[in-house]
Amino acid sequence: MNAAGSSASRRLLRSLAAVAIVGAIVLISRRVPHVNVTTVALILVLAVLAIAMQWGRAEAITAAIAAAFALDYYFLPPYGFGIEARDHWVALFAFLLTAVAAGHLSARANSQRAEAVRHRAEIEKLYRIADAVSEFESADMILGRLGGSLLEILDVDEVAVHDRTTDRIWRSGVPRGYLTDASLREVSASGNRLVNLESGLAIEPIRDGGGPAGSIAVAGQRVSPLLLRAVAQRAGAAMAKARASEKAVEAEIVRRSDELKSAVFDALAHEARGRLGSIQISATTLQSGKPLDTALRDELLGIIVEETERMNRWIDEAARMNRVEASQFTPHPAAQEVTRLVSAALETLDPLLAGQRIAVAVPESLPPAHCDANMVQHVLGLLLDNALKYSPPASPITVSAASDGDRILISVLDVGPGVPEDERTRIFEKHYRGVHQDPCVPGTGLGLASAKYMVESQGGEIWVTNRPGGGAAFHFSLPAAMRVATALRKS
Amino acid sequence: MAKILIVDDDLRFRRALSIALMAQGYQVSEAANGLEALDRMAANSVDVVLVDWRMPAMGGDETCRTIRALSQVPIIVISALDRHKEALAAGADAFFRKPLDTVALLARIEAGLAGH
Repeated sequence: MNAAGSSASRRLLRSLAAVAIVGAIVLISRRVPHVNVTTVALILVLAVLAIAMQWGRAEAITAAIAAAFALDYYFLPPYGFGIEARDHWVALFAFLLTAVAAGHLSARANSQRAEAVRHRAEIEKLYRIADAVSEFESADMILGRLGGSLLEILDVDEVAVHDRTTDRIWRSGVPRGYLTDASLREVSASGNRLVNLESGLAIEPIRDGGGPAGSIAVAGQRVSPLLLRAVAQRAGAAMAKARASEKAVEAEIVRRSDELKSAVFDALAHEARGRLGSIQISATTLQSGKPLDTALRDELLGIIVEETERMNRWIDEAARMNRVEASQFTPHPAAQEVTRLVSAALETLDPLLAGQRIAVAVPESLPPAHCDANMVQHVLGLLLDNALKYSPPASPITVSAASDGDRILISVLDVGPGVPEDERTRIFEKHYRGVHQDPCVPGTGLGLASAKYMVESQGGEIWVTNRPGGGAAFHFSLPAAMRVATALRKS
Repeated sequence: MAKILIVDDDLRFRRALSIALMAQGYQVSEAANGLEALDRMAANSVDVVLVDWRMPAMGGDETCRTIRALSQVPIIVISALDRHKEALAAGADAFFRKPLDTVALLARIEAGLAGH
């Protein structure tokens, strides 16, 4: 209503201005001595033409009438009002014709220009939406973000997006009661768009190559159906791509976890053969009744006992790995406080072994990490376990964390022998156990390989350095939750 | 008294085999990898060499080839991995997989000493 009011008053003002322009031309012309009436008439026609082009028909007609009367009054004999003469009618008709024709042309040009501007704006909007959609990888993220982007770019009151696969609905903006979940689901299921011009509601189905995959609804302002359809197409294509890559990632995870498991069993078989070899030789030698020193007899008995224990630990570890399901190899990241992750990992350690040796240095101001809590606890537990195994009894171990730009850096430091330079990369490979390592330390050599896999699957890195004063420092990085939040907000 | 060199990085297996052979009356020396084995052989003559396959520093393959290039001493490979073909290709005379039949191993050692 306001917009209409202001437009009418603007038109009135412009009409008054048009009359003023005509008045000014007449006044100036009257000051010029021996002025030709034709010249004045032509100037007035030009003025009417200009007003029509610039402002529109209504203003031009006002100016035309004013001009006809002013010409009649001041320049055509008999001076003063009186429109009996044929000339007066001709003048009035000429002015009005000019005003109407020029006004019409100008109105058409204006509306074409406005249409072009609107088209350009729509294309710009579409580009911005395409940009907003293409940055993200998962279908959930695409749909979750789409609402916010549309709200801002299309300047509507409310936007809702429905994902048919997960039946999730994302809403943004001011809730309008008539944009219901049921109507979104209906459009998602039928694939037919729903438009209500009165309430400014439009629901467009999203297709992802196959059938309907969801729907996008806008409410409060009319959005061009072409634009909305283009948005839905764009979202559908992005979703199809995201779903395909999610499937590929899942398959890769299953493959890698299978690979890891079969590696565990290969390693178990190899290890078992070695242990059994020692036990068998020791037992058959003892059994053979050949004369042996007591010291050597005791050594053989000791070997049997130790090898049995080693094998037992191996079987435990293999059984634990086997319990890890493929789904546990899929990261489910969320914002996690690092202190909480560290204390959860500490709880998994053997209290007799850990004792009071582990110091935690995590600053309070540390932003949360964007990670899978179970995986990070597993990695931390493993690194701490390693530190306990490979450093002298009762020596201190430190877990520290720091913020490094948009990542979180977590380190486990010990005062053990450290890791020789040529082993620092290989140590994260499957099957690898350090050659300089004490053979009495139990371990499968698979732990660090799985830690590497888990850290990398969450977008982090893992590496090892030696401490200047001696000892190993294992580090791994995780994305900071802040970075992810900021990226989402930037939409 | 025949002299036997055992090359294995697994300390317990090496000790168990070493004691078993001592009980049979052999004179036994030990090495944890191929490099150590070559040192032992340079210092003292050896009649039979028993070699593990997977070892750090110098593995079974390289150890067998290096020894074979230097001498015709009988080489027997003992590994938890199935490396029979590879061992023979590297110049070994026999292959035993862990866990092994001690009696069969002793018989093979005797055959090696007899020059078969």
